[in-house]
Amino acid sequence: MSTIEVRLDAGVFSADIVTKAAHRYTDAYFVEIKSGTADFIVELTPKHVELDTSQVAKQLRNDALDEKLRAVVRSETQDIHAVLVEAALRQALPSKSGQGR
Amino acid sequence: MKFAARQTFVGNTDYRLLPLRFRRLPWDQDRVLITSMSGDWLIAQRNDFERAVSGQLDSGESLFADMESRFLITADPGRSTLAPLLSQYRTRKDYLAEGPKLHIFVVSLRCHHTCAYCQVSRQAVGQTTFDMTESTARHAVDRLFDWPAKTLTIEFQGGEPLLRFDRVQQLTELIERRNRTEKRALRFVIASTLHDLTDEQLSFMREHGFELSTSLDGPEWLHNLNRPRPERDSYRRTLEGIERGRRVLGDGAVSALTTLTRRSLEVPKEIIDEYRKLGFHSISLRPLSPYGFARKTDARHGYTMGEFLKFYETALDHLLQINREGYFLEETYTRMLLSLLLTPFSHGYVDLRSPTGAGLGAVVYDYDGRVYPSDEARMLAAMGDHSFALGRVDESIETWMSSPGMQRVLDAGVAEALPTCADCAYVPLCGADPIDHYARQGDSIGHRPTSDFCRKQMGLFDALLRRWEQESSLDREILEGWALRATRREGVLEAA
Amino acid sequence: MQPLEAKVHCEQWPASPLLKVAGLAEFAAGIFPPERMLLDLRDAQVRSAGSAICRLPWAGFLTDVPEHAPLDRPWIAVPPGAFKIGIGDVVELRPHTSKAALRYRRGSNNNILFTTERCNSYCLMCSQPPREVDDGWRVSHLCDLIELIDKNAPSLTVTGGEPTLLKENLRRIVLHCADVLPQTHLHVLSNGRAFGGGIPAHMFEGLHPFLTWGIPLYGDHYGLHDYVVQSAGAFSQTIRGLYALEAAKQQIEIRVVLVKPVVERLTELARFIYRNLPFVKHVALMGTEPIGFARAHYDDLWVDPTDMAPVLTKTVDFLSKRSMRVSLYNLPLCVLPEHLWSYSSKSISDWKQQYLPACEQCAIKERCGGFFAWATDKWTSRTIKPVRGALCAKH
Repeated sequence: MSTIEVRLDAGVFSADIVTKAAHRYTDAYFVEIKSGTADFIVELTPKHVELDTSQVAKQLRNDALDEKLRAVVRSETQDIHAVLVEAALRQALPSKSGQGR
Repeated sequence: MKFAARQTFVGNTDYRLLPLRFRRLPWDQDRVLITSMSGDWLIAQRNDFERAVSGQLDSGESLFADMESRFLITADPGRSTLAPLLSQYRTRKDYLAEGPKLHIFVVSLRCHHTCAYCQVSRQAVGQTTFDMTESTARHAVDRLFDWPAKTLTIEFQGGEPLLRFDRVQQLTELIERRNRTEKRALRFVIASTLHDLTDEQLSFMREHGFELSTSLDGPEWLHNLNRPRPERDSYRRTLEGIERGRRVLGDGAVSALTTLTRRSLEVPKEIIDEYRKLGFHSISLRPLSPYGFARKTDARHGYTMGEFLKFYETALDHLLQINREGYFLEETYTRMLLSLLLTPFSHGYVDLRSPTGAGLGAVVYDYDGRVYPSDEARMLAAMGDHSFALGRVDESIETWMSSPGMQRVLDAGVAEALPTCADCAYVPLCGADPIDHYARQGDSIGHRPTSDFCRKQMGLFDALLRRWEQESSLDREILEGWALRATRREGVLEAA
Repeated sequence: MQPLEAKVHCEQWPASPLLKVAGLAEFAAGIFPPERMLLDLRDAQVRSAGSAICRLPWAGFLTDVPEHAPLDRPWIAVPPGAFKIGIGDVVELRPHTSKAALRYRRGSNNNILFTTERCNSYCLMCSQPPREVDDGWRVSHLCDLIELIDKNAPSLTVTGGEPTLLKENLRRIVLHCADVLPQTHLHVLSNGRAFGGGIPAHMFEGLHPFLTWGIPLYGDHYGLHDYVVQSAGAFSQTIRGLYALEAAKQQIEIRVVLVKPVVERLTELARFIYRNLPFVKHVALMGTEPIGFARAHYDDLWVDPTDMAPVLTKTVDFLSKRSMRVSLYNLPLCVLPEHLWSYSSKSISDWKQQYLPACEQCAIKERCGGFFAWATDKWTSRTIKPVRGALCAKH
């Protein structure tokens, strides 16, 4: 049940990104995030002894990179998303007044 | 006439991103699935995708056109239009229009069986206090027609609805009489063991165009193991019911579902072969749900979603083999998922929708006059938890829709707004199931990393996408064939 | 190839009329007034009816022998040659130039209502290059013509230029067809751009019982489509027009001319149509007509149909599996793989169609649409050859 430590550079990844990435591992691991001087330290402790932990550090780094990309996408598209959904549904739903009895 | 070169029509190539989500392919970490707001998609190299996100894509690259064409990016607003994206989105969410189409009438909780996984909380055969009264039935029919949907699927369930067939008849007749003025398109389905079907029952069902949905868990030894009757002959009676149902109503009117127990997971091929042997062209491989008696017997009969997914891969391999040999046999949930991936259309299954199908796509009228947004909500109530009850049949549908139960459903009912789901590449194709999350995790919003619902959905989508990429062209054609048939079908069927 | 217009001999015509050529059947049916008809004196049955029939107020007479025409009455004589006028046809006569033009041919596979020479696109391969002229006079001409067309004409194509430039007058023409020719299917060829803003598509809702729209789409993104139609903003307008037509419950066909840039992204276009325009009833994949602007752009446009076979197979397969009807137009059968033959039709209008010398030996010539009359060697596939031998009994 040894804890795996993954360091993520705070200059590259924000706390929010690290948290989101680490969150994915809360099924199979107990997760703790600590702030170092220049980086975040994610501690993953396997919940079950049989878990294959060989890839988890690499996967977490990949997930952090992906979360970073998602943050960019989100900042660019958040507003238009709401506008588009509203426009689409406004045209779709008929007014429900007077339906049935 | 001076003609302009291609370059002239490129316009302003300072493109912008449209709402999109992505996922690294589990089988190839260097590539990503990218999905649009409406569930169109492509697969690209992750580093190309990263360039796209950071505005570095060149308009001459084919990836640029591919992403434009799928509304993942948009370039010159003076020359492009987002109308198709809106149209796709509306098409995908088409099930929102018109309100609930599936209406489940629980005519009785009584049943002959004592299935360990029963999610119904059945009652013994003699207990008529668990039957729907005439007054409840009449109110329920009134409520049915308060809904605006032009097509109504009426599904009779139980327990065993055949044990109270007079009520089934009465409801059918009341509905049809009322429909003479309403003029909706009606579909009648009965979810039954089909045991002890009488000729009169069959004749009535033929007259009203009923479809029969029954449970067949696999070969005789497995079926009887899972579904005990005192006489221990469930399989034989089920087969007899299927046979007679087909004879009177036609082959196409009888369908069957499995419920998978731990024992079932050990024998995927045998289960499928049984369906083939009996001439079925459709099989539903349903994993257990955590309701009713299933929850109590979970330790003995339950299994992890990981185990189910392993079973599923073997089952799907076997199904493809059978289809390759020329016998058409589809798995219904797979067919629906494939239609989500390969077509722009919505589907008739209430259990994979966002906003959720509970209450918005389906309504359950219980034997005692209480009303629920889904079967699962009814199960919870039977276990003592009325969090998702909508009200009673003698109240208005507006009361139901503004009830605390419905509010709880809606608060957690939009997948695109749920944590973790919001960023998931599959969310435009997936659904929210607040009641399932509440039942399994104690919270309707749910925690995705430990969610069985999520694990199942992602596991299945991943499995199908991988096969779509990697399978032989013959297998791809088989899978595509299932998906394309789906767009001409509708409805969700449950069995006792 | 048959000319649709020629010099004729004619006398005593006061104006430039539109005339229905009548035989005895037309006289007996009484559908069209004699004042708008040309009695065909060349016809043996007409002659055997005697001279009394000539006293009716026919607009004039059609004859090989001008002396046969009644004294002081207008007549037309067609000199020997390729130009032919037959009973049931509608002829436009221009006496001051002695020219006659066929505006409707009974039995033809392609009668058109030509609405205008104007267009708002300038497609690279346009076979009818637009002219900026004021030809609004055509509207009433077409209404007159519609009144002289056989009631049992199976179909008419409304074309141009761009018919929607007529605006409300297009509606007038369609409505007139609905009133006068209720059994005749009307197919309007339009780029649909006007419905993307400017003209409400709703004006056509419920107007005509058998109305379809043939609308070209050349790419799955604006860069490609706008280039092919040489007009910035065209893609956006056409797409929005398609949705407007669908909302107005119109039947839509997408037409795709198989020029090189289009063929390069044909499967992507099919995918785009399925995802975004699943209501489209029919997709027509069309070989290029080598006339008009097309001739100037050979290098940009030409791709040998034989080389298209894999892409056509994939596209046809993709669409037909999705219950979308597909047709292959203007492509001879010998350049197509045999499994695509059932999608092909004899689409080239009879008057501009020909077969090549190689076709004489071809076993399936009768099923094949052949070639455009103006096809030159470079616009003809390198693999043209007669199909020999026994054929599957199904075909």
